Amino acid sequence: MTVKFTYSEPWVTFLDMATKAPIWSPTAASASTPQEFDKELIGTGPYQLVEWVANDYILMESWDGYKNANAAVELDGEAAVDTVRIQFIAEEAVHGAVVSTGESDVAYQIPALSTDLYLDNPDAELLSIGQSGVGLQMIFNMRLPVLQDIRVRQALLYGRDMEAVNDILYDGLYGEADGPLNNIHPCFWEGASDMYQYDPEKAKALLDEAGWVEGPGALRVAQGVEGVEDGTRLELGWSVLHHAEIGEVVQAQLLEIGVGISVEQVPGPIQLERVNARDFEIMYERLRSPDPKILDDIWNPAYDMPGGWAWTGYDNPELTAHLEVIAGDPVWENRCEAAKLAQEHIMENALNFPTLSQPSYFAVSGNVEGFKLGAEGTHFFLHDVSMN
Amino acid sequence: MGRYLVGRILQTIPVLFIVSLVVFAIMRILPGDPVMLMLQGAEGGVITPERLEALRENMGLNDPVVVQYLNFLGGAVTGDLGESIRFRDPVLEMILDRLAPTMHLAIAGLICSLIVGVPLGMIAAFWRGGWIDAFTMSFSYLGASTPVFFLALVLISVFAFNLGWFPSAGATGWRSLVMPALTLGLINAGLIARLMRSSLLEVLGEDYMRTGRAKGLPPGLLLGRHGIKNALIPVVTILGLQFGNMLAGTVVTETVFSRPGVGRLIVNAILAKDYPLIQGAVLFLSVTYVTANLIVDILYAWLDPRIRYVR
Repeated sequence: MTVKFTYSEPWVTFLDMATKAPIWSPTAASASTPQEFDKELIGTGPYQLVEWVANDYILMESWDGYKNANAAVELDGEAAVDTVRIQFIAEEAVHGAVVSTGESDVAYQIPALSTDLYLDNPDAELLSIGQSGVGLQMIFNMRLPVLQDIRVRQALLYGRDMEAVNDILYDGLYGEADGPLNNIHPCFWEGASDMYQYDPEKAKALLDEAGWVEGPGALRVAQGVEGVEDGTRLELGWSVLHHAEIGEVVQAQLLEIGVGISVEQVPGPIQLERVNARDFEIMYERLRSPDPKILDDIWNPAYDMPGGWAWTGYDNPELTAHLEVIAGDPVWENRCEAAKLAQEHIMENALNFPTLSQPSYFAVSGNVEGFKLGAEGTHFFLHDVSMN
Repeated sequence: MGRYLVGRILQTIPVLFIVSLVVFAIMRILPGDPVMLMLQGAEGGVITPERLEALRENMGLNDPVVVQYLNFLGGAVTGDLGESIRFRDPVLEMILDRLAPTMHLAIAGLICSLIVGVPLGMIAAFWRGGWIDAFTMSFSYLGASTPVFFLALVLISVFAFNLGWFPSAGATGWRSLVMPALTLGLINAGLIARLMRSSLLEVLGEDYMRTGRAKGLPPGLLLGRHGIKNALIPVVTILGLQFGNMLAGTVVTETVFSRPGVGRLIVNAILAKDYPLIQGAVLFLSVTYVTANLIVDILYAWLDPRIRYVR
């Protein structure tokens, strides 16, 4: 069967979208309400749903009518493993250890600190894959006077030591994210790695220059800063969905240069409320995709509206021009080049606060053969799996 | 007894009314726009004011607060607790789907606390002042001060990871219930042990017990027929409260042990700011708690006939 897509203008991210949006059977879709549809799954894959207990597990069994149509797998016909049980585990410590205890054959996306259970484990294997897209990035609210001065933003970047953060918190297991895109992204701008090397003295000098002088306490205070009352302490909020520990180490580092950071971890809905109300100072924002279109989503002022992803308030014609090429030019090389120019602009203007990249770790029992990860680690293939 | 029963049942009505009012008010006081949350990510990520207003009207959020409350109350009485924002499923249906694991856990935890606490309290009373009495009291303090999640993780580490006796997660089979029930039971057993100890000491000092001993009744018969039943009255009294503790404890226990119960449902609903689901689940558990206490009061009246005849 051939499916033909026709659209009125170039859709440069079509292939990326296609990995995330399956094609539904119209017969199945029309037979169910939207609420019922996700529970009455109709597919064409090697496994069929047997049982789904919400918040507990999903049980699938091999479908003997499967005809191999997936170029990513090798085994033709029916899958080798008869049943697959996907167990949902809420507790991180348990999740990380279930393969080492023999309770499970595969553990999907285990915490980094659980990896030492598998590094020298003869009965299990540790797989890892880097994360594409944006790292654990923080963005600045450029509407605030305190963050409108580039010297302040650059000082924050010079005042952080991400290598130390990685060593302290994750034993060096996390990846580098030196710019608006991850270092492993196909369109990563290499120049980002050399900018803003840890230099607290330079950070202090920039803050002095910007009018943030040493105060009576540990924090700097404003003196002649436009839009800020004299004597105001340099304190910023750091809001994240997770990985609050990164903020806590950064907090200690920035205190050395006289900047106060208050770290808060909020659930997703609260984060969205804050950004919709533009009520934040430094906010976590991450999009994951190997397509550079995510730069357009985050930095294009056209998306600075409720529900949009452009939260910073930054609006610059030069940057917008690069983003328009990323979003509209069907030639990959052109888009990638525009993405590098956009990253250069973002870094030169210190518009974001990159931290680290979170790899995905998978623990696989020695009984399992043929387990494969998808390109981004967000999905995996079981069709070639066999058990010893 | 009949008049007592009717009286107790009637007393639950204003209690449930107040609970519904408090639950409704809390959800309205909390910051955040549920309609915005529902639409976030829809329509290509952009939310139009028209769509926002239409959904708000459809959900009745433009009605006066009193009307909203009456609609909520009317729905609750007829079993309609609204629809989950995140899952778009009826709230009551979602709760009922997950009720069994929670009830199994709460009841198992209660039984465990009684099995451990009552004998421990009795032993402490008999050997009052001895080392076993000191042990029992220490155990009760430890139980009161140990966080649920800590004990849960210790049990997982020992009995699941090291010994491999029980599964560390899930709700399949009786073996998956043992550690969660022990977690809740052990923490609450201390209170029951202390209560049993003091109650039994009081009973043992009563005149009728002294008379029984003077008449030459065997100690076992004296205790079994006259002593324990009276000593259990205070324990039964707090059973309802203990059941409430169990229900509250399931929130953390179900999360640590990955059990698909109402407690974990509430945690996920809170994180997702799923107002109807939070509201419905809290109201449901509150009604369950009130009902449990009603049953306990009836049981109490059966144990102690004096209660039935008090006007």
